[in-house]
Amino acid sequence: MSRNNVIFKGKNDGILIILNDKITFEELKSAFEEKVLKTSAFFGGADISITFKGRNLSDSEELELLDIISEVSQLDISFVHSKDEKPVFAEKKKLSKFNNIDIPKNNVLKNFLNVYENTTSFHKGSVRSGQSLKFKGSIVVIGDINPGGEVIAEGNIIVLGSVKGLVHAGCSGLRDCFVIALKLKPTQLRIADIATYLPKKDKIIEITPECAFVKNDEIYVEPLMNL
Amino acid sequence: MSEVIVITSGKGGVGKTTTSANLGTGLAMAGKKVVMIDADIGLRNLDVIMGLENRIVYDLIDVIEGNCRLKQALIRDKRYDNLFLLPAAQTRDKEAISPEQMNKLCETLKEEYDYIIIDCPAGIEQGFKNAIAGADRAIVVTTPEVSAVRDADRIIGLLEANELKNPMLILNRIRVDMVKRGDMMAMDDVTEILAIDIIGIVPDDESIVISANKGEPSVTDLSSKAGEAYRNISQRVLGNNVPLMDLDFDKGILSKFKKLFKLGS
Repeated sequence: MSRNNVIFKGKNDGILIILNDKITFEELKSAFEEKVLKTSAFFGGADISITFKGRNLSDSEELELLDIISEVSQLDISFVHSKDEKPVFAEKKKLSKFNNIDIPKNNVLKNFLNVYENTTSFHKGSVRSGQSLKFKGSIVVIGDINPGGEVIAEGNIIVLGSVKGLVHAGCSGLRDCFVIALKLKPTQLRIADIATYLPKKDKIIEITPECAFVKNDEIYVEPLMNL
Repeated sequence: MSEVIVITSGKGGVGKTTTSANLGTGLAMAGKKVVMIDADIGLRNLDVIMGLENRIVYDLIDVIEGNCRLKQALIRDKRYDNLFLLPAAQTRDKEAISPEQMNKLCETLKEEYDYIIIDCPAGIEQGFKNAIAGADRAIVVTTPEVSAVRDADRIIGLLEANELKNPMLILNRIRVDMVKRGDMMAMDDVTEILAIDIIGIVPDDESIVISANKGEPSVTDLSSKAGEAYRNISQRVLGNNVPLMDLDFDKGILSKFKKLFKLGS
């Protein structure tokens, strides 16, 4: 019986996974993990696309199943089709799966993808003095980070507003992480284990979106356009 | 429809008590029934600014602990019959009351008064929590100094966390000459950081100190610029649309003439 709960089928452009919708999600998860374990040897480290069928999965359930695949096997998922055949990255909640976007090599921005396994937290509104935002993934702030406020993420930090407080990207040690802000004027900026403060520029400099990243053990800030 | 307004700032000495006194008096001048509560227990000042110090018999703590009736503790202002003050106790501290008790007090006062103005103590501890407990609306006072703006930012965050949305800002003690020289933050610099609506700007004015010493809020002084600013703020609290005042009043006669000619040409 358990054998039919999860069925893998080869398709010309990837794997079709048929899921039983008569069992609970927890049961399905264990059956799924078992199946992936068995089949991972066969697929090896192949680059494949996946289609789920037979059961309506919520976004978070689908993410959990994909997490199982990446944990248990060497499979590299290049593409996920949902039931209606729409590519997954077109849906906004799945920003974490960056690895299905083709990024040119040697582009600094490709490092964004290194933190794809964690999800992204969205914060709307300003982070005011005394407030602290921490997340085990990337953070997108739609608002300002005021002096005295702090945003600390294990992944990248993107601020659609101005940064005047403290930002710490890659706080668990990932030096590949980034800070991007429309206006980057932090009191202090940290990426992984490196901390810095920006030199005080003379007034009236054209305000442009900037990106802070680590190169040769140092934090660099470049206009986003130049990357 | 009565409203409880808390006047707060975080930092001390930016003009919370002065604002409370002037706003309370300004609303009373407009004919509203107003009570001002001094929530700064242990460091009361509002009674001094109002010139009512010598009339205190019972205070906020007495009311809350039931030593007197609410009516007994309310001091009627010497100028306006529809203005009352509930003074703070000087011999106790902020821990003597709880936010729940304060909330209950505000609810009771709302039955009879149009506006309840609460003068919040500096800081973000118990005194602050007490002061905002019963409030429907908050007015944040700041001066154009980085430290005051920083504290105001913190306070706005705490107000929002306590379900007091959309606080209003009063920018106090602004000096036009310094702003012009670039030595002081302008209104736009402050509102850019704090990102809340401004309800008034008050110029730095000697009359504030003089009237505080006399125990007469400067809002009653028709010749004072700061008084005019507070009258405007009172009107805005009442919901009337009054333009922000032009602070550029230090111009000499010559430039006034120039302006006149410019308008004419």
